[in-house]
Amino acid sequence: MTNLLTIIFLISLFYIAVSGRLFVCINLLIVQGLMLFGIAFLSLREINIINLLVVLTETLLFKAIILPYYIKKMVIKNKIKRQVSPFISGFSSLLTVSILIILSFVLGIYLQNAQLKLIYITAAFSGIMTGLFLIVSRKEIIQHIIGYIILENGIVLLSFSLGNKTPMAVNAGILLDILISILLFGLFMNKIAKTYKDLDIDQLNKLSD
Amino acid sequence: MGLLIYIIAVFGLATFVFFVRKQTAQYIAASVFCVVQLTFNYLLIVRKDLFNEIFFRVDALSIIFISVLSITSVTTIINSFVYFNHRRENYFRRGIYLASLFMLFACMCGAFLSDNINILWILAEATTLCISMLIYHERNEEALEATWKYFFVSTIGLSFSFIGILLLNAATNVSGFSSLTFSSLMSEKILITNQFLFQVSFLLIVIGFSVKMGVFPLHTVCIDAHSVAPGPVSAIISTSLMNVGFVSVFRFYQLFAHTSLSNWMSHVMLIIGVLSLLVATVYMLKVDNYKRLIAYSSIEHMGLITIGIAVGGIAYFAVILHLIIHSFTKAGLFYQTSQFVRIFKSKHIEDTGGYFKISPSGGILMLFLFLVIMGIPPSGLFFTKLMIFQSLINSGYLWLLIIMLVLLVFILWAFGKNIFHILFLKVPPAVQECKPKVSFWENIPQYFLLILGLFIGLNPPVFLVNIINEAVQYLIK
Repeated sequence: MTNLLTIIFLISLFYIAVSGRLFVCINLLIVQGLMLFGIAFLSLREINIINLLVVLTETLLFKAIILPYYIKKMVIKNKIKRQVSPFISGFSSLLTVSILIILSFVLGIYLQNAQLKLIYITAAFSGIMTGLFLIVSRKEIIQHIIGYIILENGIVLLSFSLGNKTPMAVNAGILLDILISILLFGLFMNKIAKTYKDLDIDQLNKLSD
Repeated sequence: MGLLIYIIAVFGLATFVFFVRKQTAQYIAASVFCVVQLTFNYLLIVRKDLFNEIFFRVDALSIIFISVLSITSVTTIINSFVYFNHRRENYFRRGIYLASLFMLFACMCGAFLSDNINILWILAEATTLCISMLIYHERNEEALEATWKYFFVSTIGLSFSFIGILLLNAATNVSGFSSLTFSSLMSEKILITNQFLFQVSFLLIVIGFSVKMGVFPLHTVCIDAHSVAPGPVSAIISTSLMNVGFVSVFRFYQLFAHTSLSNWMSHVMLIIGVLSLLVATVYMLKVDNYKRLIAYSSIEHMGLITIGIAVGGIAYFAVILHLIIHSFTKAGLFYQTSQFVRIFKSKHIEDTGGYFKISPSGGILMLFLFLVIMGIPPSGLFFTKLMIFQSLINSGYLWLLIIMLVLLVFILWAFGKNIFHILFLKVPPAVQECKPKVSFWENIPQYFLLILGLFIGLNPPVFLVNIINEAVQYLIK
C-alpha cells in the first residue's frame, strides 16, 4: 500500500513538471499532502494520540489543506496570471524530471540498507531535486514557493524513510518553522506584487556589484 | 527552568512593544530587555545548573558567544533608538523592529545553547524569520529585493542542512542518532559506516549553514542583506548571526573531528575558507558601496576563521578570540555607517568625504576601528592572525600562506583606500550646504566596543583564556 502511495507521489512530480496551469500545480500539492498522510499513517508502528495528532497536522492539515488554500488565495488576491511560463519547454522539463528520478533511483540503490528503503529514498530525492529544478527553471515567484513546498515534501519523506525517531516536540518545532516561513513568503510576495508590475524574479536585479 | 523564564520574558516584551505603540513604552521595554539579557548572561556564568534542560546545555562555547551577544545587544538597542529618532520613524515600524529584534536575540541565545541537533536547526531557521523582518525595515524596493533573496536562499540553504542532518543518521554507527544531542554523541565513539553518505551530508550541512556564517558559497545574499538593512541590523548580521553559523558548523566539525574522515573535513573547510577570502578580495577591489565593503570584510574574516578551524592546533584558540574581537569591532563599524547614511544621504563611496571634519570624534573612532579590523598592531586581530598563520606553516601550507598574504594585502589596500576616502577627502558641496551635525554622545557605545576589543586583544583576561581553552579542548585532545 505504501508503495502505491509513493508511486502516486512520484507521478505527481511528472505532472507538475509538465503542467502549464498554476491551479493544477496547486491541486497536485494537495495530492502530495494526502499521499504523505497515507504513508505516515501506514508506517506508524504504534498509534498513540500524540503521534497521530502530529502526523495529522503535519501532513493532512498543513500540507493538504492550509498551504494550498493559502497559495490559491495569494494567486487570486494578487491577480497572478494562471499560466506557467518556464524558461524551458514542457518536453524538456519532463525529460529533466525523468533524468532526476533515474538519478535518485541510482543514488537510492547505492545508499539503501536495512534502515533506508529504496522506494522511499528514490521518492524523497526525486521530490527534493524536482523542487530545486522548479525553483531554478521557473521565473514566477509563486512557482518558487511551490518548488520549496515540494522540496519540503521530499524532506518529510526522507525523514520517514530514516525511521524518524525525533521527539514529537522537536517535530512540532520544525513544522512551525516551515509553516511560518511559507506564510512570510506569502507576505513578502504581496509586497512584491504591490511594488512591481508582475511577479517575475527578473525584476529583482537592483543589487549587484 | 531559567531558560524558559528568559524566553517567556523576551516573548512577553516583544508582544508588548508590538502592541503598545508609545514612545515611553518602547523605551521602557528596551531597557527591561537589556536588564533581562544581562541578568540572564550573568546567571549563565555563575549558576550554570539553572539552565541545563533536556534540549539545552551550557558549555564554554555558548557562554563566550552569549556574552558577546549580550554586550552587542545593548549597544544595538541604543543605536537603534538613535537611528529611529533621526529618521523620525513612526511607532508602528518601531514596534515591529523592536519585537523582531528581541525575538532574534532570544533565538540566537537558544541556538548557542542548544544541545539537540534538530533544536539547533529550528532556532537557526527562526533567526532567518526574525532577521528578514529587520532587513525589510526601510520598505523600499532594494530592501524588498534583498529581503526576498536572503529569506528564500537562507530557507533553501537551511533545508539542505536539514537533509544533511537526516543523512548523518544513516552514515554513522550511532544507533539511529537516538538522542541526537551533541553532548551524548561526543561522549561515544563515532564510526563512519558509509563514507560517501557522510561526505554528502557534511557538505550539505556546511553549505546550508554557510548562509548564516557568511562564507562561500551562499555568502551573496548575506552581502545584499547588509547593504540595505539599517546600520544596527547589519551589525547584528555581521556579528552574532555569523557567530550562530560558526557555532553550528563548529559543533558538527567537533563531533566528527576524531573520526577517520577528519582529514577530509579539514580539506573542505580549507577550500571554503580560501574561496571566501578570494571572493572577498575580488569584490572589495571593485565595490562602490561602503556597507557592502564592510560586509565583504566580514566574509574575509569568516574565511580566515574557517581556515583556522581547518588547520587546527594553536589556531583553534585564535579562531575563538578572533571572533570575539571581530564581533565588537565590526559592530562598531556598522553602527557608524548609519551616521554616514544620514550625513551623506547615499551609500556610494564617491558621494562621501570629509567625515573627519564633520565629526572629529567619529573620525578618530573610525580610524581606530579600521586599524583594529585590519589587524594592524595594537589590534588583537594581529596576534590571532599570526597564530592562524603559524598553524598554517606547521601543517605544511606555506604556499597557501603566501597566497593568503597577497590577498590580505589587496584587502588592506582596498579597504584603506575607501575608508580614507570617507574620512579625509573634501566634504562634497551638497553635504556642506546641509551643515550636518553629529553629536559626540552618539559615538560613546562604539568607543566602548573599540576599547573592549583593544583590551581583549592586548591583554586577554585570565578567565577568558581559560574559557576559550575549555571550548576547544575536545578538538585538541
